[in-house]
Amino acid sequence: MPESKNLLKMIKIDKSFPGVHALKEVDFDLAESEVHILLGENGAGKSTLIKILAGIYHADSGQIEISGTPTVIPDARTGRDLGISVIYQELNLVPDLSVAKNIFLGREPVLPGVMRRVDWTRVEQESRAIMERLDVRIDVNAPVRSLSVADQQMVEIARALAFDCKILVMDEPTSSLSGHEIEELFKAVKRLREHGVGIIYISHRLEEVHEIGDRVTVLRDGEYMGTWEVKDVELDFLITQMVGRTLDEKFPWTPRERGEVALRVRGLTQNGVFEDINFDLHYGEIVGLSGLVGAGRTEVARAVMGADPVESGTVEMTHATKEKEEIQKLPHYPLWMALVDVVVFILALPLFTVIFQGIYDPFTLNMNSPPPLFSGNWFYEWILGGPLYNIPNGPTPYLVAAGLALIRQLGLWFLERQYRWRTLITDFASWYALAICAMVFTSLFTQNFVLEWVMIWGGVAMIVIRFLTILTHERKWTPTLAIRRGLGLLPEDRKTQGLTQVLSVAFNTTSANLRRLIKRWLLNLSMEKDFVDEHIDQLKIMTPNQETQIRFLSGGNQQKVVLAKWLFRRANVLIFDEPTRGIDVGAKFEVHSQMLQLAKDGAAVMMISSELPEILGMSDRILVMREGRLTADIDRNEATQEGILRYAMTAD
Amino acid sequence: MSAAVSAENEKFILGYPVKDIPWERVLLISAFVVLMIFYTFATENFLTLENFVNVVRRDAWLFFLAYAQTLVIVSAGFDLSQGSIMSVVSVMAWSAMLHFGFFVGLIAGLGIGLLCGVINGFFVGVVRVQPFIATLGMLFIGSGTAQLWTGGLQMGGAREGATLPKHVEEAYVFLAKGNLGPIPFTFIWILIALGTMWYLLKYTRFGTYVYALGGNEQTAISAGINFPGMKIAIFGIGGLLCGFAGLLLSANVSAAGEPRLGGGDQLLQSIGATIIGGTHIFGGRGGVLGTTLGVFLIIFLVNGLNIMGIDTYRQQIIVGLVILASIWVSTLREQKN
Repeated sequence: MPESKNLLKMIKIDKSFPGVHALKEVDFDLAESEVHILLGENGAGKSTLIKILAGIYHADSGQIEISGTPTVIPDARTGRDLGISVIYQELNLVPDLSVAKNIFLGREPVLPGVMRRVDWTRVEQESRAIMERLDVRIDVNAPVRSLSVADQQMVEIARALAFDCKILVMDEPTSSLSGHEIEELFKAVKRLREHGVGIIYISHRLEEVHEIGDRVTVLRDGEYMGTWEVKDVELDFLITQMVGRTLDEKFPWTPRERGEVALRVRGLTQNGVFEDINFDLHYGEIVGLSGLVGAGRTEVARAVMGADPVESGTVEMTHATKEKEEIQKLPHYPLWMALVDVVVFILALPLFTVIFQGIYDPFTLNMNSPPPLFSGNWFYEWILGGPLYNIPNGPTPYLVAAGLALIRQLGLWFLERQYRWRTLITDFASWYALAICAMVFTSLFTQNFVLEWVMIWGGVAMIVIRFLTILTHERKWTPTLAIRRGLGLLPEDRKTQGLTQVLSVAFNTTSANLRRLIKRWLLNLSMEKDFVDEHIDQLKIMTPNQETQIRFLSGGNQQKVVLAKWLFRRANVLIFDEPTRGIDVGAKFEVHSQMLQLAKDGAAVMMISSELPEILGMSDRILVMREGRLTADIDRNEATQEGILRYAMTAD
Repeated sequence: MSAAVSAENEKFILGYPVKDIPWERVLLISAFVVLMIFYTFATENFLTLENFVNVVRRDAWLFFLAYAQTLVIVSAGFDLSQGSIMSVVSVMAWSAMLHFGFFVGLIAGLGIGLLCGVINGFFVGVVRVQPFIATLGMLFIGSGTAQLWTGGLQMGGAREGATLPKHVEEAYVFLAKGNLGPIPFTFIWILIALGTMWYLLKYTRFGTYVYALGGNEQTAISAGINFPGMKIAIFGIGGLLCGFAGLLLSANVSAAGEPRLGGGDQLLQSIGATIIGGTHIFGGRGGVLGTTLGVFLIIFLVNGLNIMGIDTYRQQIIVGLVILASIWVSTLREQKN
């Protein structure tokens, strides 16, 4: 590379937060047309450094020079005016505005004149020109919502370009992209470099260092470890610098006994997403699910969990808590029960009609003419709502109906496993509720005889519909049911889907199984404390205390809390979706050890991961998905990176 | 999914890709048409020009209220104080007219609406109170002020005591009920408001920022948008429109200062029209054209029920159901995407 001008120099930057010395006299510099990779574990101070550069934080001491002149960056606006753009991991776009509007947000050119009309044609043309410069094909008029994550990232880059940025900071840009998209991104980065932009690139993927970087700087615990030319250093050396120890035994894998089938998935199909997924998951086994991002892995996991509806297919789980290891099918509504249901309802219908017509008919029942049979009857007046209420069709029917419906819901909740005789009652409750509601509502708008007609034929129609549903009834596989069967999902997006950020570690750990803490109708909080302590020790969760809010923990510790939640729930079939994404190397090792320990203790583990070394190092068996289909089931001994990639990327 | 897959699945209707068709809008329009047809056959004089003109003239205030609400909701806000702004404007404008004549009263009314809106905007934008809470405060302050101003009584109109001078009252009524040739004035007001709002939202920086604030507040702020200023402007314009709505409604009702003018279901109707019109309740999506459709749907729904002789309480139930249904439809669509 020819000798190039220095764009940015950060000298002896020091920054402390209450209790943490985040940056200890860190040096950093960036030249024109350079990709400078910033490495470090989570909490090493990378993002603090970036935020100081962007003007969000202010350094306690130290100096920033931009193009040789000492500069103070008081706020984000100034930073941007100086040509510093940051692309954060969480994309910073307005989803409903078009690509062009997003690119020019905040700096729209206004046509001259009193109308203050924005020159949208120019916005569009210039956006298109920038897209051409990046050599990507994105419709600048499409709303950002409709783009893929990779394209949205391109829009962010285009926006930085539109701001005439000289220094572009990219915070883990490839973490949610698949192989092909990463290539596109790298192409764009290289094109930017040719245009003289200096790029600061933060990544957890060490493989990318050699692929894209010119120089690399390593931070460890807020300390500056050094800067090297990429071509002079080995990955192992960088890892040593980052963690201060070599990770010889990166994956603590040991052989295990394979147990019975825990989870059996057959023919799972979700239109347009995945098709005909079949696999077995055994107790004591770790199965890796590999494939490119967008191959449908997460979607399969969510469907297995019951979180998303599927078009067809079954999920069966062995009930591990029972001694008999029988495979339980999804429970069906037994036919004989259905017949009883129908017969009883047919017999009961006229009865209800009489009862409710008699009492609730709002046209005969009002202040002036209460039915003689009921007047003076306390039950009628106070409970059902009689002439005491000035409104003839008072709120009582609705309240009764709501109450009955509530009873039904509670009943179904308690009886999630099978239909029993109690279900019959609760089911009827719901029918009554519906009947009352329908009757009261129709009575508002119809004459009496119409009401009768609606009641009777409506009832008949309901029976027919009910019968048809019963015939085709299959218990819906919902997360509630799946969790009760012992399935646990550690989602990819643990921050929002796995945890409640503003609540404590203790709460997050126990919230999925509060029933375990109940003593005499109340939660036993001292018991909770003991349990949570146990889990914190077992999983080595680094937290000041139990009451710390989740958002103050690092990514790795958050992941451990999600795991603790499922352990507390005694889940024995666990699906880890990208368990170590955005987690530093030390915590990664911890999570892997825990996974193996779980498997050793007899749990069935499925691990979705985009990192091939992790898949190869951790799995006993590897499933590969490509474009919504399972394409391979490879044993650990036969698996190679090339093999997996071949199945993931090419059609046979 | 890869581009190739989506290209294969793409279907076209009348040259539009199926996924780009605004189904909510299509549904809304067809619901409106079905309603019109139903009423035409169910009643005798629904589909007459006279009825149409009367309805739009009488309910013109709802257009302004709904435009204000649309603007606020699109920017991820919420304005609960619309009704009480109308009340305050009604009584204060009446007083101003009594002493200083029609035009001063008109300006005073608009100014008070603007002021209330700006106060809302100040609390939302500068103090950073949740819009819901801030405007709830304004709801109580406004209705309290209006009642205090008049001692809880109606001013002018049917009540004995001070009344507006004849020519002022005529001018006031003319604002809402007058005609310009064959065209009622209210139509012109509505068209001006609609055109201005549409232009503002579509072609100006202000409008883009309104959508940006509603879509992703953090992004908008980090793009250098002046958050407090925008909020004050948005709520201010909202308040101004509410003020005009208050003037129209009081002129229409009795040309009196009515402290309980906006105490009815005006607020709910404006929110309802906005939501039915396809504006997303959490902001970022929507617009005044949809809201106009929503207003039309509501006012003619109610008008038809009136002609059929169904009373107000039942009408409220039906309007509520329509609002629920429209939200349901939009949620369904969201889930599909």
